[in-house]
Amino acid sequence: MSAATSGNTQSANRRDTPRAASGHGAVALLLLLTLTSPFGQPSTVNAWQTDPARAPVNEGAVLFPASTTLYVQLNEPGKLVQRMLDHPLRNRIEGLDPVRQRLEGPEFTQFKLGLGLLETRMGESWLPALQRLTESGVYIGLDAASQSAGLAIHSGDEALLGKTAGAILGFIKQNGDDFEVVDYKGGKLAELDEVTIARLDEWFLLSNQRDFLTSMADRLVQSRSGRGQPDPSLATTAEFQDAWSHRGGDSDAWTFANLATIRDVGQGNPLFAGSTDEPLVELLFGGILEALGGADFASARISVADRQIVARVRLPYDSTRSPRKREFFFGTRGEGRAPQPIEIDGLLAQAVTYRDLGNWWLSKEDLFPENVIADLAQGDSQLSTLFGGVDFGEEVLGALQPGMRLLVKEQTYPEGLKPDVTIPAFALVTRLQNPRDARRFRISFQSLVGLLNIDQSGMERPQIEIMTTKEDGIQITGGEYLPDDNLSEGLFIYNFSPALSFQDDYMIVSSSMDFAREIAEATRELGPPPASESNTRITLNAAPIREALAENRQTLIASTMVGQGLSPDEAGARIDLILDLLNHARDATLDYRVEPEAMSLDLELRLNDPR
Amino acid sequence: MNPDSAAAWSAWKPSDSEPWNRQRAAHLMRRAGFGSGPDALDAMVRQGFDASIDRLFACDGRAAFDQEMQPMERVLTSTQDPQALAAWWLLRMSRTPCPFLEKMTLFWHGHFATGAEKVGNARAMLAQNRLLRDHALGKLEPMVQGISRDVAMLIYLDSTDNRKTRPNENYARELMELFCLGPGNYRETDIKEIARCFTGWEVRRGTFRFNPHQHDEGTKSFLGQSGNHGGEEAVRIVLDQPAAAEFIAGKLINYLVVDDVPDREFCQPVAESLRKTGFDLATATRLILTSRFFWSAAAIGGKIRSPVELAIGLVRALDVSVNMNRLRNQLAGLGHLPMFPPNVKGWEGGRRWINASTYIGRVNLVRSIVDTDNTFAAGSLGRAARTSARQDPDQWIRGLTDWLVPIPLTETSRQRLAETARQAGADPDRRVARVLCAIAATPEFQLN
Repeated sequence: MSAATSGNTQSANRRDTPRAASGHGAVALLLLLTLTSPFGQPSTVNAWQTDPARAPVNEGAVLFPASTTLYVQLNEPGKLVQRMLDHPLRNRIEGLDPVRQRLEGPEFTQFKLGLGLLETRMGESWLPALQRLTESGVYIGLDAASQSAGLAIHSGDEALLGKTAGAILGFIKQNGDDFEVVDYKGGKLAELDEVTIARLDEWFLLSNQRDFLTSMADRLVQSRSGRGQPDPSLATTAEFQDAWSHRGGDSDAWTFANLATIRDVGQGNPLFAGSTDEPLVELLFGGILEALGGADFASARISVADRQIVARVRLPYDSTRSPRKREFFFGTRGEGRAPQPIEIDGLLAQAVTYRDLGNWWLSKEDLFPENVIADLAQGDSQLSTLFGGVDFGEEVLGALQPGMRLLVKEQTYPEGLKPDVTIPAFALVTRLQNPRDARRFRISFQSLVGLLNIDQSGMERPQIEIMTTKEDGIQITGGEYLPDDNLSEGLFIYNFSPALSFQDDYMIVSSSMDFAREIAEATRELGPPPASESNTRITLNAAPIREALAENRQTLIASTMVGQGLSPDEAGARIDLILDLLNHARDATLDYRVEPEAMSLDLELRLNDPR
Repeated sequence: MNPDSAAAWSAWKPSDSEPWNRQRAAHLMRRAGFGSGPDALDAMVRQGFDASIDRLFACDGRAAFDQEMQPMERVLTSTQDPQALAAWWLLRMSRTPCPFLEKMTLFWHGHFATGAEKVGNARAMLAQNRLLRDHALGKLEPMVQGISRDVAMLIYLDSTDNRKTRPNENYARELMELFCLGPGNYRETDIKEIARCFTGWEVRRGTFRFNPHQHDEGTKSFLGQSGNHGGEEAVRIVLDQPAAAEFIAGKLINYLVVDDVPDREFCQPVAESLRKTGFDLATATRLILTSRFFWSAAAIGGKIRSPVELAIGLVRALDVSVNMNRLRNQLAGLGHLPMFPPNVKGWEGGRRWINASTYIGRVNLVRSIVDTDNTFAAGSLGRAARTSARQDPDQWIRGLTDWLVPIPLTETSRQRLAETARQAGADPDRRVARVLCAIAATPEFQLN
């Protein structure tokens, strides 16, 4: 087909040709190979010009049936490949043994040879070709009911599509695979060994089922002609339209999943059961399980920029009508919000979340099966004893305000008590309903450390000395290990010098006394807490995480040696690469929000300037 | 001396009829190591037989290798995870430049069997492992003296508290029955008396100590000796028994040469070597490895491959990096996880390694090692794959089996492998992987 016959669509969509890539990428090759379009000869259909005014809501979703289980659209994937190939880390990754082994292996050599031949026949480098071939979008649909999968590529260069397809089909014929090309709806269609492909002007279609492919082609022709009532398609379903209308701006990839079908197919999958037998999983993810158990669909999008990767998952959910048993997660009428983060320098991570522990414990009969309830009742009894005979659910957990913060920071150690394997200090920060309850918690803490000492002595391990300090309204009860010449060789337990700290109504349980003190001081700076927008928000800071990992480089190397059977040098190279990668990252946040009609999970990864 | 015995233990030298070639080098490395790849075997052939034997005992590179492994040992003892310790040892076996030393360390671990699960102390297990390695090719007595005060051993045999009013007989019994003499070479009264020698030997706060207040200072009479003996003297007296050298000689021959050891008389030359040298284990094992018996048809393929020999042998031969944690779990499933012997008697070995269930497990183990997702060093499987593309199936299967399998394949096995190679598809890596799995499934491959 000549460029002229492809009409306005092509010229309107064509962008500046990107510069040639300096290397090859397997991902790019796969994408390119999927362009096995028939015939270098043009079709004669001119009716495929898209009138923007009549363009469907989503031109890819129009192609797939209403029953489509999973739909993915990639907007300009060629540019994404270009960004990956241009990244400064590429050379480091390609230098790793397993990667280099693959790149030097016979399969990749053969692949490069094939790619070179293809480039010769196309008359240009593969990367710019890939960019032009996919610049109007790549669409993928999976239909669980018919076990069909389809791929549609909307090329930005019809002539190039024809040339590429002709070249690839030529290779297939050279390999002795015979196939017949037939006319279909003004385009061409060919059945190969395992797939059927079709080319209709600037569109290329591929499917594992012939019927599925022809239905895609039929919908494409109908949608472009604009005549008659459009066939039902994924794009016409209310669920898809809802998801599409909330897609929230441009992205590199967007996906829609029909959860109702996935639930039917994956019956018994605990992810969709709506509940769990694990109390901790319920505490952390109970609300999400609730939504996954009932939502009809989910959508997600991802955007990749030079210094930022942003992803968002959205689930429809009416949180104002969430069940009472999950008020511990959502709050009343879904209004539970996480407390504001605490500002402390050098944190590796901080998680803030709305969780009502007392409510969670008291709802256990509605949340868990009998055997779990029995186990929790036993735990309730033992914990009540530890807390001086008061009811653990109502009077201990119930004494805490909803909402908590978990903070993680690298720690320092007293001389002679540094473990060989170090882990960061961590602390849980909550608020008491009534500051007078602090004494009860302190006594229980002292009892707990006493029990720990008895246990430690049974294993001939060092003992913890408890001490209490009170200064400027901050009271800290904590333990320090008694140095022991016989036992002090880098024990792992030196990572834990438990502490309980109070400041006003704040209660801080920490693995380190110093950290407990630092947090208590920081809470003094917090005024009346404004509600955050999130149910849960997690922040990770790359620089201190890198420092903590670098501190444990030997441990990580040891673990990699055993886990992958490597020499110290090989394992060291892998760990150093991870540390290098962390040098390029700045921070990451995960923000989980609950709104009246939907819940969303936003992940944002920010990178340092690669230059 | 039995004349057959004298001939069997006389020195073997390569000759025109019995040349020093790749197959014989492979036999040596399967027994005095865990196996080697074709390049290493060819290098041994070039060096010659005597030089190859000398290199086994020289342990070149041990100091540097020990230093390489040290940071990992610190991590293991810090976390106190005995499972991780097993994976660490497998890694060590797969990468050591001193395979004979490591193989003998594994032997002594089975001999002085101590289970990490019961000991529950990675630091003590690691200390015992070092002790065994330090003495594996040295003199026997210092090793037994060390084991007698080894924290892991004393915990394992419930002998951490040995009081004069209630002597603990466990260690005394095992010292004679399992470690030094064998059954039938002592009486119950000897056990009771030796137990008195060890009174006051105890473990406190993770370390061994002698508590003079709890030591029985009375006269002890056992094995024909009488006096106020302590534990050290008890060990010496036990090792002075004529049965001790025969017992240890039989164990070494069983480990290095054949599963079915001929009678005591046959083992006398090795026992005599032990007696004459004060139980010098390097001398005795050199005698074994250079004997006509070791190189006889009865010895080559005369043992069943243990799961560890199978796994580490293949890892070393193919020069492949595998996940040692996964390997550890697979070996546990096959009943041969280092650091976790089944009981104080260690692993019985021999035909007990194979039954219907473990046979499948052994093939699966090989499959996971030759998995193309693993990282193979330059050459190794990749080179075999490229070779396979150029040769006819019979030729390249022979090229693999002549060093992987100790005895010639039967016609049935050969045909089955050729059929597998023909059906294995075009991808060379997968083709070799499939053929290796098929080799692992042959009866001949189960032999060592």
